[in-house]
Amino acid sequence: MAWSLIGKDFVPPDIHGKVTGRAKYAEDFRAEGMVFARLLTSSVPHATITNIDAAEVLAMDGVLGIITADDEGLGALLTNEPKFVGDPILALAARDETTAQDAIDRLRGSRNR
Amino acid sequence: MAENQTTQMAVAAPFPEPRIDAGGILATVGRSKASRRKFIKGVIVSGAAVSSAGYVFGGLSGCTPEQAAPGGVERLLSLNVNGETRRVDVLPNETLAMTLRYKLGLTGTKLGCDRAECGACTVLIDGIPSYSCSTLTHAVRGRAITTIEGLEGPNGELHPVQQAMIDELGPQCGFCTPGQIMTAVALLRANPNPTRDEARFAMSGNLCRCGAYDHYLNSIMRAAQDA
Repeated sequence: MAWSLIGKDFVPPDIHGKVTGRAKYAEDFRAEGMVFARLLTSSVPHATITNIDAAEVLAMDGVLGIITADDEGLGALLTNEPKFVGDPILALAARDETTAQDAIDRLRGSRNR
Repeated sequence: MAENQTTQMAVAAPFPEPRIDAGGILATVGRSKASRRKFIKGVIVSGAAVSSAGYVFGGLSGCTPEQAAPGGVERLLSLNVNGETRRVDVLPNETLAMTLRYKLGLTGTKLGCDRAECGACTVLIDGIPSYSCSTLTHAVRGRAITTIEGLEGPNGELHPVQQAMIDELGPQCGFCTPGQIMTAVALLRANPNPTRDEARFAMSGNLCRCGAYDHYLNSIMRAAQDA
């Protein structure tokens, strides 16, 4: 019993799906009502965010909202003082991924280096 | 570093480009033989920086909404995918990987990096392995596109490369496997009896994070033998 697989030839149960493309990975799923998030990440190694102007972006069709480090409980995930390139500053949710990315690109704000 | 995955539900962190401010880019161009591409990119970025007061967060790709209208208008195309003609509405800036995965439901084609580095999105366009993440759908009208879903026979018989992948336990996590298989299929069509080194070279555009390269090569050598 304990040695039913070790040292034996067997066909892994998921390999057929992997070689035919039928295996579903996380991003292969779509659910009704699913929305998409993108992050605004730091483009510089260190900065202090002094202002985020999201009014234009929040008015865009398909944009659902943003969260920042100032929202309760998010200080551990998002930051107003990014400490590396890619440090997440803000998350934005939208109806689809393209809208989310367009919205991120349109965000305006200011920071001190 | 954050990974630029086209992940849903989970948050996808875009890979930010180092931000270049107006003074920076001019200084850069002035003192070095910056490439034309870099220069143009820099001008676009600095243009965006100048247009708003103070520092801005900076566009990610130089493709800010002012330069390129987001979205644009979808147009109805006929695509030849796996031998079938598929009618689909496509945005002007839509990549073939996006169309295949999210409009035609062919999720066997994977998006690993979405920037032509990893090869997970490889499909055949007129028999040539191509990165579908970096091919615009509008550019492949009238071309024959083959994805992993198009390899099996009419009764679900596996392609010899797929069978060899099972026999040799090619995949580990399996995420890069569809791309690996598409490249291997194209290789064996062009060169039915490659040496191991030739196969290794042909497969060099397909990365595998599990490091199953030797398993994939074993599979390809077996497929060449069996075919």
